[in-house]
Parts: sequence; C-alpha cells; structure tokens
Amino acid sequence: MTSTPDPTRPATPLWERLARRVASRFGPGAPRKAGPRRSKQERDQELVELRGQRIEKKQQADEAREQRRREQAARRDEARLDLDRAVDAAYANYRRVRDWALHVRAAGGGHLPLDDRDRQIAASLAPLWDADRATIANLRHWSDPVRGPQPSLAAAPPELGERLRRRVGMLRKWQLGHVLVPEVATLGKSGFMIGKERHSEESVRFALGTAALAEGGVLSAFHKPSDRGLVWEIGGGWGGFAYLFKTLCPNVTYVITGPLERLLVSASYLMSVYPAARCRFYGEPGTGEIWADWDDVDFVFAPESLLSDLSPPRLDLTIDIDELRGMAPARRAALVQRAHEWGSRYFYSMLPALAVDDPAGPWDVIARFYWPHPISLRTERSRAYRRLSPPEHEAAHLIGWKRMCL
Amino acid sequence: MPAYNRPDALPRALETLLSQTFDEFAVVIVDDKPSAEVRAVVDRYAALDGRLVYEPNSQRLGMIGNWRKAFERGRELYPSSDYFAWVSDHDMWHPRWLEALVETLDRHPRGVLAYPLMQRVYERHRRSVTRRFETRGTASPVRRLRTAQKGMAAGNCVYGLFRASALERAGVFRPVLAPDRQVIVECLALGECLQVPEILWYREVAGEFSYGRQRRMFFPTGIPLHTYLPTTVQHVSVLFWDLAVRGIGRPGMGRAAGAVYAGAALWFESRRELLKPDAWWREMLRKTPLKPWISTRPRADDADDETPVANAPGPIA
Repeated sequence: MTSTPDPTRPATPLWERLARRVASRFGPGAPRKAGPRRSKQERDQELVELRGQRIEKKQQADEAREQRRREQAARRDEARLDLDRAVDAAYANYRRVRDWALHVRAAGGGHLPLDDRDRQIAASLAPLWDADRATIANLRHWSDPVRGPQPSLAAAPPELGERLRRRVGMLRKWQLGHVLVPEVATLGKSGFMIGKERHSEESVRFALGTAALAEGGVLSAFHKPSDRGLVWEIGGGWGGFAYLFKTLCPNVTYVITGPLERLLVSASYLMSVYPAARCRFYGEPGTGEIWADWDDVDFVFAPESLLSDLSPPRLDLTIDIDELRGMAPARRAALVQRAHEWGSRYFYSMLPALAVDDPAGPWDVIARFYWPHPISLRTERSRAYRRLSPPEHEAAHLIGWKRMCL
Repeated sequence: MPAYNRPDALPRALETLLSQTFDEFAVVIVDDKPSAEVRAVVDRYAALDGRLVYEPNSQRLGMIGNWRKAFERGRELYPSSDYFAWVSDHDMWHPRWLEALVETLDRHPRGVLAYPLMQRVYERHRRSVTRRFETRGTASPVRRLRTAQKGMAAGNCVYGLFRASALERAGVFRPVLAPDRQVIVECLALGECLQVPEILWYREVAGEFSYGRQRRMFFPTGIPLHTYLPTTVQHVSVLFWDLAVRGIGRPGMGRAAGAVYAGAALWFESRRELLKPDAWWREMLRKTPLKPWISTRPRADDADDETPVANAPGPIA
C-alpha cells in the first residue's frame, strides 16, 4: 500500500531540507571515509602480498605467451614442412612433365609453326626447361608471360587491391559468389587476401568466364554426376581456368593442348594443386591408348602439333581464354574447325572487351562453325561495376552452338 | 512448327532444334505459305535428320488454324508422345532447352506447362527478359489464376513445353483474340505452370502488338464478329463453356468449381484490362490535356523487366 501526500499539509521548507542533508553527510552520525588505521607492518605485509600476486600473474602470462609462441612456431614449421612436401611433389611433377615434353620433342612431335606471341612466350619460358626446385616453388611468378602481367603483393598499387576487393564484393552481391574460386598459395602467392580468401585479377577474370558459361546455360550441363563431360581448352594458359573449372565441375575430363613450353607450366601447376588428379600425357612412354577409360582421367595434356592424331571419343565444350586472338588466321581457323570436327557442342571464347570489334579477331571464325551468342553478365552491365573496372580490364564472352551445316 | 514464309531464318531454327541434347522428339512443320525456298531448306535438313516432317497447307489456314493443325498432326503422327511444344520458324533454342523442360515436367507430375527464361533478339541488339512467373506448388486453381494475372506473359509461356493430354483437354487454340492467353488460363485450371530459371530460348522480335493485326493474321478468310467483343468476354465464355458446361476439368475440377474458376477469371481479367498501363481509358486520357498525369509505363508483356546485352548482334545469318 502506498501513501499519497496530503495536499492540505504544508510542505517542508527548503532551508530545513538542506540542513538535514548537510547534517546527514557531515554530522556525528555520518559514515567515515577511511577504515580503522592500520599499522605500518600490516601495510607492508599487504604490499608484499600484492607484489607477489603481480609477479605470479606476470609469470603466468609469460608462460602462456611462450606457449603460444611455441605453438605458432610449430604450426609454422608444420606449414613449412607441408609446403616443402608440396614443392617436392611439384618438382617431381615438373620433372615428369619435362621428361615427357623432352621425349615428345625428341620424337619430332613438338614442332609447331609458332606465331610471334608464341615465340615470345617460348623465349620467356626457356629457363623452365632446366628449372631447379626453387624455380618450381615460385611457378606462379614464372608464368607471368603466359598469363600476362600480374601484380604481386609487394608491387601492386593499393588501389588495385581495393578495386579487386570491391569487384569480389560485387560478384558476391550479384549471387555469383559460387563461381569465385580462390587462388592456391602453394606455388607462389599471388593476388590479395579478401576476407579469408586470396583472389587475383586472374581468378576474378576466370570467375567471370565461368559466370558467363553459367548464364549461357552451359555450366549446368557439367554438373551432372552421372554423365562425364569432356572439355578441351586451347592453349591452357598457366592452368588457372582449368583449375577453376575442374573445381566447379569435378565430373569432367579436361584436355589441354598447346605448345610444349606452356604445357610445362600448366601441367606442373595442375598436378600440384590437384595432387590426387589422374593425368595423362599424349605420347608418354608406357601410357598406352590415350582415350582408354578416359572417364577415369582428370587431365589430358597433348602438344598442339599432334592434334591430328588426337581424336577424342566425344567433346562437349571447347574453351578459348584469349588464346586464338594471338594466332595466325590459318592456325586459328584450323583449331576451331578441329573443335567442330570433334563434335564439340559448345565453343566458349573470352576476349578483352576492346578487342571484340577487331575485324581480325577470332569471333568471326568461330561464327563460321558455331552459332554465336554473346553473353553480357549482369555484373558487367551494372554502372557500379563499370565504375570499378575500366574497359581495358573488361572481358567479352561468346558462347557458340555447333552448326549442323557449314 | 507452324511456319509462315521465313526461309531466311528457318535453317537457324531447324539447326538449333535438331541439335537438342534431348533427342527423343520430332519436328512437324506445317507450312501456311509454302514456297520453293522453304521446301529446299527443309529437304536439306530432312536428308540429315529423319525426325523432320514437312506438311505444306494447300490453302492458307491463318495463324490459329495453322497452330491447331500443328498440334493435331503431331498427335496423329506421334500419339504416344507425352509432351508437345509449338516452335516458331525464326527463333533459336539453346541445345539444353528441351532437356531442361522435359526434366522439369517429368519431376512435377502436376505441371502442365514448363517454359524457360528468354532473350529477345532485335535487329542490332538483344535484351534478356528476367521476368519470373510460375505457379509451382500452388494447389488452388483460383490462386494460380490470380498469380497468372499479375505476372504471366502469355506470349512467352505459349512457346513452352505442354503436357499434351492437358493441352488437348484445354482445347488447344480457340478462334478468339489472344488465344495464347486463353489456352494458358485454361491449362492453369488443370495444373501448374513451371518456369526453368535459365535463358534457353532466343526470340526474334516480330511486329507491334495490336488486335487489328491479330484479326488479320488469325482469320485470313473472314473475321468472325465475336472477335470484336472484349477479349475478356471471349476468353471467359470459352472457359465457362469448357469447365462449367462440358466439364473438361473433371475429375479434378467439377462443373461448379469450373463455374467459380470462370467467374474468378472474369474478375481478374476485367481488373487487369482496366488497370493495365495501356488500358483503353488511359489511351483516351492520353489524348486529352491530362496526358502528363497518365502513366506511360510499357505493357507488362514488354520491356519492364528486360536488361540489355552489350556487344550482342541481332539475327545471325
């Protein structure tokens, strides 16, 4: 029950209320601030105890820090050992690829009339014919000529990292995060850490390529667990697109053809980032029939000079990541025609956006053998994305459907 | 394939159809304007692929008659076929078009129609149409109808894959204006409409829409008087006759339920006709000083959900 103030009763005057407050604070009944006075001995004793507690806490913190340091060092050692093992494996893979390439070259199978671009790349990659372990440990950085200039962590301007970060964010925003496959740091770190993943200009460009394949209704054809697909990439670059495609669509056999120097890079890289992959090399001693049980094989590597001997049992998709553009028209036409003859249902081509209108570009040749369908990605159409990405960094995508009558 | 004088685009259309990854189908071409050029194209592809049947009409049937004949001949020649689709003589289909639609209808026995997203192909550019409409999982026919009135583009849906038995029950194409809308509304009484969320159909854009053009194209031998009635009246009359009088919806939908469905269609269609951006009263007001206050949004069937495709050529020779 609460009492209500009586409105008829006069209120306590202000001076009386103030006086009571002062008396309660400073008067005889007011609480004392300090406790009873302690002796000096007691105070010293307390100080010693406090000091002991402080020292004990510091010792515990030092021990915990030391423990953490030891664990971190152990983890670093473990990671270094893992990396060493990975590099050892990569070097062994490289030697296998190099032995095969040398064997093919010695047998006269590596001869290919090279274009200027190929000659430049071959000259840049010449040291890879006799690479040591340290070279293979940084294979990504050695493959610069194949993949074009790539900013390394140290040399990249800060705005590049920021732009990449925003592009990745935008891809995720546009529901294309599923095609983003981060870089592997095994054979040389490249790109930028974005969140917990490492991405580079290349990995984002390739992600846009797979997004184009998805938008063009092609990628879903390779998601079926029952039906094994066969994909052929012309040139193969340094193996980055193959790595991404194989990660997204494991149920495919991926064929890469190109000059031997470039296969040295792509084959060594792919065998190292996919240690369990089953790889075959056309013309490797003891391999036997290259297409026997092909659906058990993950990667097939063959020199472009031996294409006429290579007749796959089927072909679902042919991929050109800006490889045809640098070739002579006759060589380019022969490759597209080969894809058509092998029955490739789809032909995917990626070009720099500024090269699309070039009359000497490869899309006209593709259109002779395939019904062309340019793909414009939703991200690339958005103004925000275009602000982030100048046209010289943009790619154009074309998907071709096989023609019946030429 | 109800064909009409497109020998220029026919090779591309036939190639994209005959290259489908799902290969258990046949193409029956019913030609409403036979010519030597069309014949030559068909002969060339018939020599390559035995799934092609060509039937020229001895006299012009018009679009409705030709579409009906395409269905009827298809059923006569392939009576065991579960599914049916009309295809034009100038569009393009993704190689996976039929595979994806068949798979969708196989998985959903209650589906009567499956259709994909599409891209419009103009002379110099393309536009992707990203409109989403389907009635998947909606058991009530009236709810399906309500959903359809809000989001359906009948001109796109009608080029989807139909369950042939449902289409037959729905009466195929009737001699009314906008028969595509009518047949799909009737199909929705019988089952669900499913959309495959991938662009698998590339549609060449034809002329402008108008009822006058439809009358001329549909009825070359003489325009029936009933086509001058409002389309809602034409459609609902057919619906009422089929569902409430003939009872074609049975056993799933009785005659009384059919009458309710027709009534709901009358309400939804009338409301749509009154509220659509190009309704007759808006058109009239646009000719008055009130024009600035009248919405100029395009028709729902057209451009409101299209996105341009850069660097994309139009028709490819």
